[in-house]
Amino acid sequence: MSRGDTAQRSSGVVGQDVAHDSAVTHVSGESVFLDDVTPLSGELVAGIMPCPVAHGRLRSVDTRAACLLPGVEAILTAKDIRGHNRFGPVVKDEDLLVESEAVFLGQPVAIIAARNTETLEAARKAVVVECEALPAIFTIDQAIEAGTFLGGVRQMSRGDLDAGFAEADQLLDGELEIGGQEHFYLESQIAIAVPGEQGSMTIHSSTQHPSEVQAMVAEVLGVPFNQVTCECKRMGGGFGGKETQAAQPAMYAALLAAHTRRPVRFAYNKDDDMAYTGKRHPFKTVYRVGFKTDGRLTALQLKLYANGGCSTDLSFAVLERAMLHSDNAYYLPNVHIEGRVCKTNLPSNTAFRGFGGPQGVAGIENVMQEIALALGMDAMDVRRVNLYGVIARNVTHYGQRVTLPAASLGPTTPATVRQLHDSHPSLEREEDANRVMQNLPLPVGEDGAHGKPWRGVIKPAPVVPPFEAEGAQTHGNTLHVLLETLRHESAYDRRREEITTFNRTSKTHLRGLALSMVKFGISFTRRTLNQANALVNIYTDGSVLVTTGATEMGQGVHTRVRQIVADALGVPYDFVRVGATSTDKNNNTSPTAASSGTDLNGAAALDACERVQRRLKDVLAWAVFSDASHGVSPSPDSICFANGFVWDARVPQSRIPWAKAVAVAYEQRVSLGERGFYATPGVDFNRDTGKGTPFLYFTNGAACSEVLIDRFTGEMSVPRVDLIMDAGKSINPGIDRGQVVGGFIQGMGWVTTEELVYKADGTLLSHSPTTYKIPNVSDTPRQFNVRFLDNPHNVVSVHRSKAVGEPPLLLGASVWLAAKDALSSVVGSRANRLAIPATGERLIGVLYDIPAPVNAVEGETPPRRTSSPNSGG
Amino acid sequence: MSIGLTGPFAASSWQGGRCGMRDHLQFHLNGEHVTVSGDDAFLTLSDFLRQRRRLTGTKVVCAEGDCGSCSVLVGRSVDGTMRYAAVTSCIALVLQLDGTHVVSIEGLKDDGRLNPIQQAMVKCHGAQCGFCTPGFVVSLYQMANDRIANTRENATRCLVGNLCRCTGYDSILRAATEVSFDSVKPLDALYPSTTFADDDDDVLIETTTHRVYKPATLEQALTYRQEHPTCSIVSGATDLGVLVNKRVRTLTDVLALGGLTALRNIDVDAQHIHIGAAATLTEVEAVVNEHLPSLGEFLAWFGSPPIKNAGTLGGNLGTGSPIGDSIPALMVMNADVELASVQGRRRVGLITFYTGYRQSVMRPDELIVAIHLPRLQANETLKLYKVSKRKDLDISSVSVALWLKRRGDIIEDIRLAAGGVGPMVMRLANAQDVLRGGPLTLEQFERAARAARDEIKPIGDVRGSAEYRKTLVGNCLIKACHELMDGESIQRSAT
Repeated sequence: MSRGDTAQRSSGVVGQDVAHDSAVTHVSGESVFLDDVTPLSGELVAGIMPCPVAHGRLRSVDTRAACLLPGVEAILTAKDIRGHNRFGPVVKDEDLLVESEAVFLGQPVAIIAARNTETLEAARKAVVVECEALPAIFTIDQAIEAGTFLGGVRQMSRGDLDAGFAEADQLLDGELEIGGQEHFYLESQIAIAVPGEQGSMTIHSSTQHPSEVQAMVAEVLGVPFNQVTCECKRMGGGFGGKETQAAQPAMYAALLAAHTRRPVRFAYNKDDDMAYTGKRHPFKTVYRVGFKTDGRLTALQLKLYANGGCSTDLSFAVLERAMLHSDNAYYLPNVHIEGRVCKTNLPSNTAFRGFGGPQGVAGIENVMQEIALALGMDAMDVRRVNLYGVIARNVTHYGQRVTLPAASLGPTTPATVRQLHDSHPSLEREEDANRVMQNLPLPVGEDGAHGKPWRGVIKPAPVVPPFEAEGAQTHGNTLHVLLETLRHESAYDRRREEITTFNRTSKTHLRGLALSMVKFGISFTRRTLNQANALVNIYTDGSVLVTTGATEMGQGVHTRVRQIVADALGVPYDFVRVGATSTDKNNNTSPTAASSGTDLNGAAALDACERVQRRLKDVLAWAVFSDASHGVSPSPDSICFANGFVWDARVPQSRIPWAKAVAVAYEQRVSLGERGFYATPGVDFNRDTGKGTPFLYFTNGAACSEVLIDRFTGEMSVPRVDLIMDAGKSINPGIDRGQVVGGFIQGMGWVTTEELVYKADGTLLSHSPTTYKIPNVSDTPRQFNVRFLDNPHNVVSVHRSKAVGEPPLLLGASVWLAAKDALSSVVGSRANRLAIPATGERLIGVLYDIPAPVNAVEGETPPRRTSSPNSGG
Repeated sequence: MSIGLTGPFAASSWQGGRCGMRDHLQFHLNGEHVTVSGDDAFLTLSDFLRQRRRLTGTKVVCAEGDCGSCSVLVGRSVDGTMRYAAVTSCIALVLQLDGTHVVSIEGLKDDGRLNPIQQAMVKCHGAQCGFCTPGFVVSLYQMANDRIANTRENATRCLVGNLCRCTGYDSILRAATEVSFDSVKPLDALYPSTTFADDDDDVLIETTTHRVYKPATLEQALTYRQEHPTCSIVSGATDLGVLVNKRVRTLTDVLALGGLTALRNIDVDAQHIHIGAAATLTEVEAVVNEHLPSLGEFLAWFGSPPIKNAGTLGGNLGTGSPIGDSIPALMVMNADVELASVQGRRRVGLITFYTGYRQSVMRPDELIVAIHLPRLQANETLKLYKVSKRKDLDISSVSVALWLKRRGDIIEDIRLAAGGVGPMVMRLANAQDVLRGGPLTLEQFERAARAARDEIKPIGDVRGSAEYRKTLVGNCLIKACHELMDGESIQRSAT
């Protein structure tokens, strides 16, 4: 049974399309974001003194003149830090304030607190920084040439690469450049530090990871963790950018607050935030692939290079997830993947929705497209023959089954077995299907895959009306159903023909079509992080306050937790409030990341509810429901909670309001608060061998995108997208839909218009929305069909839901693949020059065979705000 | 009737400190009367709202008018009725607001309850993180206030100035199309008891470091201009506001023209469209759509509604940026710029107006008062192209304008200009020579494209490499040829 499946309680709110927890105050402008907080008495504004070169030896920082300015309250440099100046979430390999060697442009050499922004500006102008410039590197190619890397080579492999290449009918070599991406959360990084008694410090931070902010602040101040409290009410967007890198602003503010004994607000403006904080890792993928004439891949050799920036941050985990997603939805029989993180003189690149997954998936989806081009096949057919099977070809290169654990399979009937067999090309024998349905172990080969060679025949696509083969979903591999359903619903085959004709006849435009998949592994690949605690407090009036380690950044985790708690306690939704996330209520929390916020914290909240409810049942059974008038003996198991009432199932007329029940429990001195805990069972991954079961389950999906490209201007639009997600059984369909649409559009931006442009000295030129173009409302697909697979079988997750935060972003790649498809109809294999993002300039470059521009520009530098906070003065 | 376009100009002398002149600004904020004097007049509107009034529903993200999170409605009385337009408050200056009614997100609730747009946004999950949300509500409120039909298409056009990073916009568009605009109270009904008096005072605010003068008449403006030749001229502030926020410019001496309704008139006669220099781009677009559709269609892609609601054609020309999108278009149309000073006025052909990067023949005592646009005759065609990384609300990599006059299949006359290819907008003289007098054929245009690529000297920058820009300029000509030959059949609708 899935957690939360207990039948007897329900307020019916799980599964409902409840509005976002904060929707009412969001639309009225009354939601309070950190910079909206009225400054405390004596509060100071803070800013950094940025290093003027990307790589250099710091000679001196002269703050004397600046310190004398009236209104300048503190200027701190590295030597003023009593705790650790060296910081990092995994490896402590970055100076918070430059000590001797500056490693990226804008790295702070000093931090300044002043009474207002004007004074702060003046102080910044008065600080004299002497820095000797050293040669700097910015790109992956430069790093490879110079041999500058972070950490060693990571590897994952399976099978026999040479044998696989020998078996191939054809080999292809190639490489793909994948650009980075700016998070562009609308609320820039911000923290307010308020000093307390005896060295304590309260940090209000816009962070996805309050516990890490707490720990890093404590370390930089040199105090125990229990002296620091970090609270986050909400973020104006995070997308991974506030997972580790909310810590720096918090540390700056805390250092200055500790020094001045006054509250300090540190807020980046958008320009500085974009220029000085990390982004999605740019990647370079080098591949050699072998395949049969039917498109089936026999061997794949991959080298992934990630541009990590100046320090480790989360780069190893990002690279690892990229390697773990280099299969995406496709079976790689013989594969060797090698990964490295390049060290460059850029702000340390960091988590960004998808966390390496998008780069890994882009790599293999590009390979699928290349195979199709080489064979003259439709890329969708190449994808179909390579899709993970159910019985055979169903184990990933790291050894995890793409099917659910056998124990979780659904009911078996001859009909469902037949359906499973019929609807899945890879199920060659009905008896295999039968074994799956009966939870019997399958024959296992030497590498964990099916033992005998795959003899499957790819059948013509069965035009099955979607999801009638219900039994077919219970094994968890929904990839075939998703692909075939989408192919059918998007009228892929018909449109493919139309497009071929169009591209032959149109003088001015090109169309392209691509269907891509996603299979996204859910869980932190670092096992430890797969835990959560939650605090549920019930007050004597019956109202409930829940806090968890999950932070709210718009994704709706608070709403889902509220639904789960209301449902679990059998009280109306309005009885429950979810409080701000704070480390003094929930300790040692994991970041709200890896799409896992609801999975972990929802399950922990559920655990707390179950425990407190158990106590309520015990006390109510004898104190209320067993009195003489009812004529029954105490039976805690008979007590029911629903819709704000409590009753004994044997005497339904006995029901009392929830608040009364709570009052009775209080009267009887029963604890009305509980802490719940959840640790994801069964996940484990060995980094050294590259093998294990890193994920609890996979969230799957597919998207089919069509693009229209102007042959003369390279302008591209997206007339139609069809998208289908297997998001399990939704806790909140409206919020899930918002995640899917928003994630897809963000992914589309990454592969189309979002381009990071640097000057030769490392200055970011695309540092504001004038020059960095996230999708606009008019860029969204004119026709955008989004639907969910009805999959109630994901029993391993809370309420059988599936995490949906990141996976849809990876489907944005389909827009890039469609662009490549369009180009290849004109320029053939030269389309392999297309990089990510496919900007108009790049499209024109491929169409007209213009050499790629060097990423160094002349001319006018766009004006940039170099001041710090927007307000608070 | 355009004031300042006809009749002799009578100069009068500006007298600092004369009585009748106010030393403070007065306007309304969410129905409340507000006066501002001293340094606060030089704040951006968003800072004024957030810091001075603690109205923090207005969010600042980019501080350059490109994301719309700070949108507020600004109403001005025109002929006795209030006309409201959404503007980006981060680049609007308080000194522009004299006599207006500013309505922020806090002023849009209806009797303390969510208005129908807000209710629809809640229901449709139109808000995720909530940071951009007030701006979207403001933009939609303007649409409802103007009673624009809430189709998905119209809502999309209305919202191009608002960026959202969470929702992918779909839920916001659903909210926009589901709400009944009839149920949304017009702002006049939301603020029934507030009276907005037309006043024609001029205002002078002087502090130790700043000075701003808001004239009530053109005469006053010209006099001030003559006596303060180095002053910053603020009309819509859509460019200047950015430069101030980014600390490129500081405002020490400001001549604020926004309140000069005389400069906002637009007249159309048989030969010309006469556009007052302070007419907003939104106002220009409305007129041009009717009388010069090919330019109107281009203006639709020009900038976002909040920028067009504030920005003026005069400001666009006065700034003189080589990537100012209107300039190539107006150049090939042979538009005239009308300049005025206390000495009198003169008309200068736009073709000869610019002399270098952001340099023109305008004298320090002059103001642009009007632009005169010749209307297209039956055998004339105007084609305009703007290529940018993102379709909407993006600065061009290249813009190309083409005007031609046909006699049968022969191109009798042609004018070409391109922006983004040099320090100022360039005429494509060699390409013109290739085409002038010749037949309208693809071969001719391919020759012209080669000539154009050779005669421009673009630079590579954040918006594209030099080679890309050269290719684009040539390609736009060839694209134009295809469109001309196909009888204009391939229109924007195809994209």
